[in-house]
Amino acid sequence: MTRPAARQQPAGEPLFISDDAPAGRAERYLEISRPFGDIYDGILDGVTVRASIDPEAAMQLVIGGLPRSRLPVLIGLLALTLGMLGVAIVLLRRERAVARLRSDFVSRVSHELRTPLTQIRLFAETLLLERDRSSDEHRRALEIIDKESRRLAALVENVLQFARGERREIELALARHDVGGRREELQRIADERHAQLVVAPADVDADALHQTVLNLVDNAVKYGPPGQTITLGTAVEETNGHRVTRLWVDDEGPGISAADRDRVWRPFVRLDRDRRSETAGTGIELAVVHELVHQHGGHAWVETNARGGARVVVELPVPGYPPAVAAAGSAARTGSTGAT
Amino acid sequence: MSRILVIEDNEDLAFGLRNNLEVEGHTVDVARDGGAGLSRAEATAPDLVILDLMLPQLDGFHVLRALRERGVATPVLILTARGEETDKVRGLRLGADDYVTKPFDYWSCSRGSRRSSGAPAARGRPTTSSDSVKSRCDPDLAPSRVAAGQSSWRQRNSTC
Repeated sequence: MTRPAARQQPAGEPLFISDDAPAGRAERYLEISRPFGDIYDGILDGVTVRASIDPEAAMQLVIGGLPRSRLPVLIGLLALTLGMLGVAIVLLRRERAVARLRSDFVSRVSHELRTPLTQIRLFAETLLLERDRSSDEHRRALEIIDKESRRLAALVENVLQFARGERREIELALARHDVGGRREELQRIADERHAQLVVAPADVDADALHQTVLNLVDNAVKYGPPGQTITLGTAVEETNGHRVTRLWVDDEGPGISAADRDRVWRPFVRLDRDRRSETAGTGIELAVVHELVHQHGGHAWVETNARGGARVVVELPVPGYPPAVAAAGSAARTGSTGAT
Repeated sequence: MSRILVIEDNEDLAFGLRNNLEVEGHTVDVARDGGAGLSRAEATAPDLVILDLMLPQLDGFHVLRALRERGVATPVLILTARGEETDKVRGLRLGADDYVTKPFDYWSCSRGSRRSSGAPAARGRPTTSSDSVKSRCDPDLAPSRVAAGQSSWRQRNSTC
């Protein structure tokens, strides 16, 4: 349907012509001088519009806008609208950033899964097809399958633990635990990168600490140079009547800048330097550590060690004592089993 | 048989590839990082390069680009955990002849290496009690798969 062009009023010709005013009324009736049919193809032929104006109320008429008295309200509404728009934009950007991080996370987990799967599959085929040429090769193939399946299990456990943490479903079974008791597993991780690992046996206060230590050592192995020495130390400390178990892992990597020391605990976050590197990682290992430590009422932080590398410190309350809240520097050491 | 250079930083995976390729009669050389791989590819002129992408020092894309820029026309089979389409397109555009994503089965890799290097199918493979596995995976033993057009490396990767 074609919309008719607006009709131009000839200059000097009145649009309205006054009708006769009713007797005793001050207002004047106005009548449209031309039928609408000229404009709307006869649809409004014969329609007459009448309007009356009370001259005493004419000054209160608002034509084309609101009175100035409502300007502050309008400005307020405008500011509110702009504010809400700004908040919406910020939330949208944040949502997009989280979606991107999650997408990256899925991609990284997928990559992390592929590596052990590749080797399990390759060596299983090698054995099935009897392509091992000696008993040494046969044994090595089996060892690789065993090692990679353990790595796969650890990765899956991390993802599950992370999901439990997100849902606040972590259940702790507190018990005395000796870090050195699982040294073999830690050593296996270190061996993959030809790193030397020295573990100091110590009492710790929860089974879940094993995963914490595993993640910390794995993190140190990944982001330090091949052949580095990784130090795992523990100490029991007491400050202000609070006894805590402190555990730290030192590496010989480039360290973590002060600006990034809080970021490393956030899920899905990888530092820019790691994003550019070819080092694999899912971005949840330290987030899992942070959640587990938090669930224990403990603290975790990052420092720089004496060799310039990163020192990741975990502080846990000793069962039977109130949670520790003291800063690292104010603790009075009562016992130490750290080693390098 | 062929001389194959494997550029792979994962020691275990390199061991597995070397073992299987040598069983097929190939001569295998292994480089553990991109820089060493590039040098060795230029110096030894192998018949085929099996190239990982995530390598220390110089990643696989850089190695491949450098090889092509220097006029090295050796067939390159990319073997990587990076399965995104953008990576595949990038690798093939840089001059790779095949792109295989992990996890792969060895027969897929072997088939890709034969295709890339132009070498004939491996002969004299040991007859084993696991021929059923081979027949599932090896196109030479399962011609129906080839006939069905399922062996195009640029269309289908990694599994048989």
